[in-house]
Amino acid sequence: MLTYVRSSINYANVKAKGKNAITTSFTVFLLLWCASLSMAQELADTLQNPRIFFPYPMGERQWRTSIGLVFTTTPQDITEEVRVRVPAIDLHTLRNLNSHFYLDGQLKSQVIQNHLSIGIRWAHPITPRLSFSVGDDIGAWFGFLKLESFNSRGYGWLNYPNISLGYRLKNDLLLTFKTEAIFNLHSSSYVGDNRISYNNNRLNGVGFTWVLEQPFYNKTHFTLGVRALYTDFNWQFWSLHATFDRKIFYPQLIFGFIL
Amino acid sequence: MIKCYQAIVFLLLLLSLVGCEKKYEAPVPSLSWDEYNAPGAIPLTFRTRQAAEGVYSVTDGADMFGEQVALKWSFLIKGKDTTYYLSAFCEKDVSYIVLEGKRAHQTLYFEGYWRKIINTETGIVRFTIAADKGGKWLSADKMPVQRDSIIFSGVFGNNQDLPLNKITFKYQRPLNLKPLAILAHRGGGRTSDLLPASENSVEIVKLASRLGATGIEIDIRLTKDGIPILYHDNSLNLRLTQKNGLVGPIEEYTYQQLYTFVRLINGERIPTLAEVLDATLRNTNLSFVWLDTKYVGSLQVVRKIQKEYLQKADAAGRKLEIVIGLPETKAVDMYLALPDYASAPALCELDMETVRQTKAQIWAPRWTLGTQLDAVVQMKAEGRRVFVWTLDVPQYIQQYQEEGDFDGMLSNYPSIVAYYHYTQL
Repeated sequence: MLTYVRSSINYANVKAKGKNAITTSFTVFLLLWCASLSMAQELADTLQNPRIFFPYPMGERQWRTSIGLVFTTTPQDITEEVRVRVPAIDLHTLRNLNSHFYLDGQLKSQVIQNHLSIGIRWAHPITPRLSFSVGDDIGAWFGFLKLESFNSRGYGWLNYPNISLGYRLKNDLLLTFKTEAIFNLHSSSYVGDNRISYNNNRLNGVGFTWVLEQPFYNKTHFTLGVRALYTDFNWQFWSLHATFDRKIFYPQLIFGFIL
Repeated sequence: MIKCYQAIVFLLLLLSLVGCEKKYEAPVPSLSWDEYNAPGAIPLTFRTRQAAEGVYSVTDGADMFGEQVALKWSFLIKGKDTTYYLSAFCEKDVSYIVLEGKRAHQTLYFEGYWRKIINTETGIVRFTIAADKGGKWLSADKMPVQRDSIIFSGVFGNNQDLPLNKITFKYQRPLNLKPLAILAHRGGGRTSDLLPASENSVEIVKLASRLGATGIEIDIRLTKDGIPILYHDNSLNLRLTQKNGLVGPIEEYTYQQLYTFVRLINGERIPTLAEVLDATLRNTNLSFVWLDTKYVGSLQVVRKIQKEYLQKADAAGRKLEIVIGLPETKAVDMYLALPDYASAPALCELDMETVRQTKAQIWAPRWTLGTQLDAVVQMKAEGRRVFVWTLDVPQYIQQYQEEGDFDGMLSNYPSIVAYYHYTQL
């Protein structure tokens, strides 16, 4: 059994160093962490609204969780005439670390393929209405497909450095715009006894997310968002073994209830 | 509850996504090279063409096309004229080069274009073989016998730009000529791969050999009036056709309606099966046609056309196999309902027991099941051939050729199948 490692010389102009991005992110977060510890005065959580995407320090709250669905529209280039919105269960959790830092964990599952990410955020309010965060997530995905005509499985690692900008439209309505880069650090797939691996070291795509978070019913809060991915790799379609080396548009709809 | 203006904000955000999908294009660049079109330049002889085929190392341009290429000729017959094309099959980014060649005195000139099929990169490429770099030898119709005896020196550019980047090929060895059926999916390739012809068209079938194919797979449906045509999807749609106002299943339209109102994405008409087989027989040297039956119904009309063109090929002395594909059990039932099914060449995609039941001469397992070496050996021991489908990932294509035992390989990228096959030691 052979292992093939693809060197990524192409796209030299847009190439970014995935591993370097992680190192840079780590250094930046370390500096921010030290800065936040040195702040004499603890930030008060002036924003009481439950939120998941809105970039704001968590205050006294230790945990925040939402559960929902993410619908990804299948792209024509890959699935041809079959264009459906494939739902994934989405469990999203925040864990407070200190006045500016919190952890962001997310599990997306379609049973036969799953994606788990964990990352750190540094959030900072600029004005009473405007705030932002910078973050970096590491994602791991795995999938298996053993049906009549398939004997496949795969796994991989991704990195998502991200920046979010939040604006409080009214006290009960939070608007967030998040932009992220997507680095497909590694992916492996197996078909029968055959295996191939890719070790990429470049920018594979970008994502833009717009999210509204607001009260919904009986003190619950609702997340409603759209995410536009432009990437040449999407873990949700690993089993189709798409070979296109061009950015493909994946629109996503995000629905969630903040618990 | 969600307020009205909040819904409007969200709707505006959604609308902002409309039109986000980028439209990719990879048009074939137009060619005009004075040296190539000089009045004294003459076509290359059969012996010269034959001698130029082989595996070449890439000494300039390897970062663009890979370390080596396989050069192979194909041809297209148009009436009494035959045009010869020299294709270079490359590993890097599934790229290929299509050239035409001429000779002036003892120098050979080649002009054409290159393309990376997995993305949209393309451009012009020009080569010369100077007299002292093999041109004299090739002009005298002598075969090369040693490495570096033929040197293609050239330039390539991006898109329509003047080609300025250096590219050099040096002859290394003859092509691997072990038999392998290199089958092009949908007549030559998918519309989504931005080829200059639409999938399942007469034009893509004429292009298939230049892309490395020795055979094709085509998708057969029936019109409302029972004419077998080529079309992949269930419905008329903008993925495959230009805007025309017709919607819904293609089986709801007569052939005349489709002929009059529908054009494929690159402007071609939806062809009949007979038109495509006619073009395959008369215009190409393709030796295999896989009729993938996409409809549920009697196979009588397809069988009749298959029989007719097999007889025509025999009469013309052409080596051409035409097989009826059996992708599912309903197709198997229809095939077994044919009065002469035992003599109708067929290819079965289902399990080995069904293959035996149908007496199909070819078993075609899906590639996602792996190389299945034991099963392949068993089927071959029973006198069958085994073709694997539809394999596009270059690394898997290489592995399946090195570790598998297939007689044929169906791919949207016949050029990379050709590369791994012809360069195999």
